[in-house]
Amino acid sequence: MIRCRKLTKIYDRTSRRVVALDEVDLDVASGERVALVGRSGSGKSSLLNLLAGLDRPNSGTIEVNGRSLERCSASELAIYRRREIGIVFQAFRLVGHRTAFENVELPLLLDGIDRSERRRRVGEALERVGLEGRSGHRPDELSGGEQQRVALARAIVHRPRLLLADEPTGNLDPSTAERVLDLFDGVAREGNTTLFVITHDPKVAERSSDRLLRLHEGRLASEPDRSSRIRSAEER
Amino acid sequence: MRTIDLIGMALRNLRARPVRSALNALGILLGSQIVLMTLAGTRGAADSLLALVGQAEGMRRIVVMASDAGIEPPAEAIAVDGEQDESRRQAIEQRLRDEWLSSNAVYAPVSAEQLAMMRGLPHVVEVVPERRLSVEFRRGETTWTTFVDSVADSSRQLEEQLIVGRLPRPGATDEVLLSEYAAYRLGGTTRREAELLLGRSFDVRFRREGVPAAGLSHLLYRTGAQVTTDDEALLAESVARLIDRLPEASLSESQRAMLEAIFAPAESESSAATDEPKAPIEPYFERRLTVCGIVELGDDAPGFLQFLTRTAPDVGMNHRGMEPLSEQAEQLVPFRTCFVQVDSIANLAATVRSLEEAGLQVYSNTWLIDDIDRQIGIARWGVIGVASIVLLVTALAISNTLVISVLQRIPEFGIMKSIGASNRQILGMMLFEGGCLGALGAIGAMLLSWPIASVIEGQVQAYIAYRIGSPFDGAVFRTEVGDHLSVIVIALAIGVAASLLPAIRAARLDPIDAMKGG
Ligand SMILES: Nc1ncnc2c1ncn2[C@@H]1O[C@H](COP(=O)(O)OP(=O)(O)O)[C@@H](O)[C@H]1O
Ligand SMILES: [Mg+2]
Repeated sequence: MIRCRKLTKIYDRTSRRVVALDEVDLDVASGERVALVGRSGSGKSSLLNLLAGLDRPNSGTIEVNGRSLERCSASELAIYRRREIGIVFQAFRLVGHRTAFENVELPLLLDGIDRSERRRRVGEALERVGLEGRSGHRPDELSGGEQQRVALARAIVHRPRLLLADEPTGNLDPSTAERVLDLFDGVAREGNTTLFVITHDPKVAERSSDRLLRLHEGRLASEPDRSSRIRSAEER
Repeated sequence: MRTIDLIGMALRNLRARPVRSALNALGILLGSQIVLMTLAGTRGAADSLLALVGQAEGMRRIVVMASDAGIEPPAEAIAVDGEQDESRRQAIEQRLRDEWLSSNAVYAPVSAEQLAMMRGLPHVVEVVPERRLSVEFRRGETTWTTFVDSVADSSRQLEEQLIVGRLPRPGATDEVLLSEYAAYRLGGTTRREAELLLGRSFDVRFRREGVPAAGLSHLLYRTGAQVTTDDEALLAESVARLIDRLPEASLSESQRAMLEAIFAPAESESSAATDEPKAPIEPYFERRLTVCGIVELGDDAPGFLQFLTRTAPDVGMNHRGMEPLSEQAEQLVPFRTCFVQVDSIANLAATVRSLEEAGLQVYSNTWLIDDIDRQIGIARWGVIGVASIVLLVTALAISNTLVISVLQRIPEFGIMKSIGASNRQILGMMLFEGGCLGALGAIGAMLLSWPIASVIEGQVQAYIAYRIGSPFDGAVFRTEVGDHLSVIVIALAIGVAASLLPAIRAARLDPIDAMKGG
């Protein structure tokens, strides 16, 4: 599903040169649920953005679903994001003036899906996250947890093969976080979706992943004491 | 992304910022409104101006003269001396010909067939032959010699100048209209006395007019001589006698032709055609005429049809009534000028064309109408120029607010991109938003143009009516389908053009930076 080789990301915009990812090799099997932990600034988001095709590596290769992202054009990446992946961010990133329904509908609109099909799929997605009754509400009328569930619905409405989440519970209180993570888990299992979650909460990481990865100053290391928990996707 | 969804999204986004969208649409609305009103207003103004101008009878009047075709100046009169290149030679020859024709006054009389043809033309209200008969009013011991001129039935302006009485009835042979001066000469010294003349009858002798001996009169005028009407009449009589008796003189054919060309050019053809000697001409006949009305002595007496005559006419008679009288005097007074009154200024040009095609010489005011059209056209382009500047400023202002709007919406664009919107889709969305603003502005402008136009129209009509002193219901605005189409096109173009730069900016945003808020 995911295959990165010597993936390097260097930020050189300011006077300070930051090596955010340093020759990272990463393999994730289809249907696998991977959690990525690491200290703040260790390069987690940088890696996720590369996987999402939102950014380009300085060197190395990044292959998702057999597609070499580093070689894709901007519009190919847009189509990739629109069809093959779903992303959830820490800060929800909902469009403020659109209702829950309209937010979830956006990926389908962009992909030219017709109206009745959109309505059906948005309904399903909202139902899946338990918000079917809130479809007409705008983000500012929803709680943090509800907003993140809308964001999740938006990320899965087009049935992506890969679900990326960048600290999806970072802005939520523990019990809400729990519910949201349960949902991620359930969604990933049902759709046999590959899940790649960034978190800085080891407990969360342990609970909802098959494998735990740790980033440290741009370098990837599998957590030794968790290796016993690693199961391959094929075993399931 | 589907176009319908793109439009839906654009409208949705506009609705999300109602005040700004409304202001932008209002800007476009005002710009388009100006363009629409300009197009409609200048066209309406042209119509109104023509309608106003067309209310004047004189504007709808065509002066017709029978062509001088067939009457050729003698070769020596138009011979061009010296070596000339061809175009120069032709130009000089043409001038020589014009000069000879005008100083010899050899215009053919208008024929009865031509008169009938003119009366048969569509849109022709009335054809008035300009007959002018010399008359002698007798009052006690003294006589007063003057002219009787044709009065048209359609002479509304003359009617407005009536002090007392009415215009001569159509076909009446015994009614005359007097000018204030004529009334004075006939004993109405004060205005009150003049009014007493109404209904009074006078014995009048119709005299032979002096003008036909045009060549002779011209000779005299060109030496600066003062020639009285009586002198002219005497001269004419003498010339007529001379012409009548020419066959008796032992002159060669060419000598006789030359004398005829000088003294009676218009009649030379007919006398050449019929070799029989003419019957003696009865120079006078008498009538008893009743005064039916007196008109004010204005700067001009338009209804008297003195269009091309030198002296202001003093006595008018209905032109149909004058016909039988003229017939009696026809050989003396062949009329050379006609006035064709057209129903509407809009039909003037077509009528002029028909008359010209019939080989008549035509003088009309079409040049003035063309001039009005041209001036209005120039004015229209001027106003359109100003409107374009307004539109440009509008576009810049809208572009500016859209740029600000893009800055505020950066996170939104970032989100859209992160979930798969391509640069082109973002660009498309923004341009559609601009297009929708334009469409809203255009629709608003067209809807608003109704009440605005009717209010302005009412005001302008009232003002014009006040100025001209009679009701005026001419159009102030007139739109054509093309105007509305061009307004839609212009408004859409402004909307799209104004959003182009902001759209490019939005499309180029980096999604990660954008999501964080730029
Ligand atoms: N756009 C950027 N420009 C410059 N430096 C950046 C940028 N994004 C991230 N970095 C730097 O790269 C490193 C990794 O950042 P990031 O991937 O966001 O870490 P994490 O998500 O693990 O907190 C950090 O040192 C951060 O300051
Ligand atoms: Mg991060």
